[in-house]
Amino acid sequence: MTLHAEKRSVMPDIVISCAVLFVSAGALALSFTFSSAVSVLLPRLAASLGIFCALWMIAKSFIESARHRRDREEDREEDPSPTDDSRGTHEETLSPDVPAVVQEIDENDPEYVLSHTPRKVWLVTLGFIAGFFILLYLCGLFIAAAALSLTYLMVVGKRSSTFAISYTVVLTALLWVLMRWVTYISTPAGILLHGG
Amino acid sequence: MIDAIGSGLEQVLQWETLLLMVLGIFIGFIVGILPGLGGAVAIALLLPFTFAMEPVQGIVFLLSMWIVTGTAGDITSVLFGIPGEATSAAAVLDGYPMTKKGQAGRALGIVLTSSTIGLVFGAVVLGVFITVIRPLVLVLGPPEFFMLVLLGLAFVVTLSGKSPAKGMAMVALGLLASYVGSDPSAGLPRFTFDQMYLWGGIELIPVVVGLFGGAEVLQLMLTRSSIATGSIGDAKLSGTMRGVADALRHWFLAVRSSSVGVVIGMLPGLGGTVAQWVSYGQARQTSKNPEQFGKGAIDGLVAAGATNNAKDAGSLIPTIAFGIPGGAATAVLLGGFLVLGITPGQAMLTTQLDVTFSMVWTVVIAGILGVALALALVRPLASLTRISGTVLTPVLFLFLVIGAYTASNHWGDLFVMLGASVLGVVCLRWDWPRVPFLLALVLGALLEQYLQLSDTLFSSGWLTRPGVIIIGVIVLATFVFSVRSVARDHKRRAADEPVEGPRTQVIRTIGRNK
Repeated sequence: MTLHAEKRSVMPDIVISCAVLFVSAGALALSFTFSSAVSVLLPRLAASLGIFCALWMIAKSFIESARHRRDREEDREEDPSPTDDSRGTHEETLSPDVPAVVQEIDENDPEYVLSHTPRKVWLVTLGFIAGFFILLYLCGLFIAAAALSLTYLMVVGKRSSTFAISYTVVLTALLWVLMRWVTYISTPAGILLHGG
Repeated sequence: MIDAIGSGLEQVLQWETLLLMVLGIFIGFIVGILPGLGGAVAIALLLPFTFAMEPVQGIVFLLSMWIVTGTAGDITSVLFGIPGEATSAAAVLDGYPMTKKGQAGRALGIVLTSSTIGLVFGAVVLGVFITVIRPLVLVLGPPEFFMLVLLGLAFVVTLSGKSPAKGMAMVALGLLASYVGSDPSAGLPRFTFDQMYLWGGIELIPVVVGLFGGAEVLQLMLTRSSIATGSIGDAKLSGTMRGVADALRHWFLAVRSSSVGVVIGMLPGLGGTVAQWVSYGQARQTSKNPEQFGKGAIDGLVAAGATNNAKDAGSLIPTIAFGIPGGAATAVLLGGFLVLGITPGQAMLTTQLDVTFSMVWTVVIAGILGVALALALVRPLASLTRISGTVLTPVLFLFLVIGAYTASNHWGDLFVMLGASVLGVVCLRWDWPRVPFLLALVLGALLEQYLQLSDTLFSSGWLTRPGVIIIGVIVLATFVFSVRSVARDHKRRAADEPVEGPRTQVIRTIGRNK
């Protein structure tokens, strides 16, 4: 594991643990503001468990980090030539000896997908999600679904306008029939178009 | 009793009744595939259509629809990573990774075969024990239920993956989330931040849909490729048959998981959401390859599939014998029984035993027909996973929104789903376990409810009840066994994965090879 990788594995754990600590401590503090009639025994126990585990994780992460740093320094003392910058070269030169362990990259692995996706793709994806929910809030499900389908297929999917329009019409019509004629299940209504 | 069994079968095999069963199976299949629209919704929507039917016809129609929703829910979990129902979430963990490897057919073969085993086992238990189960279930009171909920929580250690500390932290978060809403004794709001939506607590379905489905849809949007990337081979019949053989090879696990499903399914309030994780946890505990769990473990998928259908038969036991529904779907089903003029209770076990057995036969026949339908559709269903991700995304996105919104038809459901999706993504990205959070969310409210009842009814005397002591010992044993199992995994990983740095790793790997 490289320095970069090590940072990736320890720092997020510390940040997430701090978030757990914040939520648990907040819940514990809030429980003291409730009236005496409210049951607080189990919420307080849960909050205490959260605080304990978060502190445990933070301490564990710092200890692991220190141990990694010490191991790395020991490695450097044994052989000062390789640096973090030469990691790629190192793996390449030694790759025939370590095929199973070092080179094993599963491109379907969620961790790999989420960490190796380019920033631009992330921004486009999050933009579409945000746009969909804003449109859903304004115009309701059917219009938001149609807009998402049409724009996503044309912009991201690079599909022809004929395909995108046909797909959108069929999808929206099916959705309409399913929700309005078959199941009568209510759908999120927009603040501008209640029927949308 | 033999007469009742024969009479029950005869009533089901009337051609009009069979036609209604087939109709119910088709509707259940479609509803089950759509995330969020579970058996309860399907029964509620179609209940009015049964008013003009004969009692047995109405029961067969409703039951066959409900039974098939569970099977179909597993299909969505395996193919798209979005649980078709809250009770199908465990199938996502190992089914979806198999689909991503191009083994959708095999995964469906496994889950459908284990579903059949679970279903038949559950129906046999239902048929054999329903007449004698009454005194047994009456022995259990709130204190025993409290201990059973604790037993469910004891599996958290096993389900925590590599780090028990992370798992316990997620349990704490899940428990805190479950305590949002009115408190069980005074009915006063807790942690609601002046939001009316939160008074009813955090809905389970948006959390399940977001935690598992949201994260998977985001990945699909990021990769822009089809879900499955492996060869087409396993989408063919041979792949499915391989899955069938896999499940049959693990028959003992399927039966064991079915037992867990039936027992927990018959306990009112606990139901399938808990049963699937307890079953998944015990499968992981006893597996020879626990490290494969979450990456496409066959035994994990077998356990999830078997439990999901067995618990339905289990939850019918208290519904029929006492008129106490085991969950939301059986509550609506109970309403259907009453509308059709069937009163659950003693009469169902004596004078109307033939009607009870017609239900047992319906569970078996409809379940097997549902699985057969699913198996027939494996090829086209599996080929859906080859469709480009950009084409599938709009449909899956709608699944998420509709699935979440049906929980209480409130915008709050969508916010909860989005929050759960963020949590799911964070967990996936930085290897924090999602399941302990979900399990704690389900069990937290039950834990508090049964503790309050036990305290009110028995004061501190409930702690000395024999049932409480026995289940307490089982809880302790489970906990100890889980900790041992985690420690053993940890040792094995430490021995197999000396990954400190590329160079150290190379040296150690070469050293080991020598």
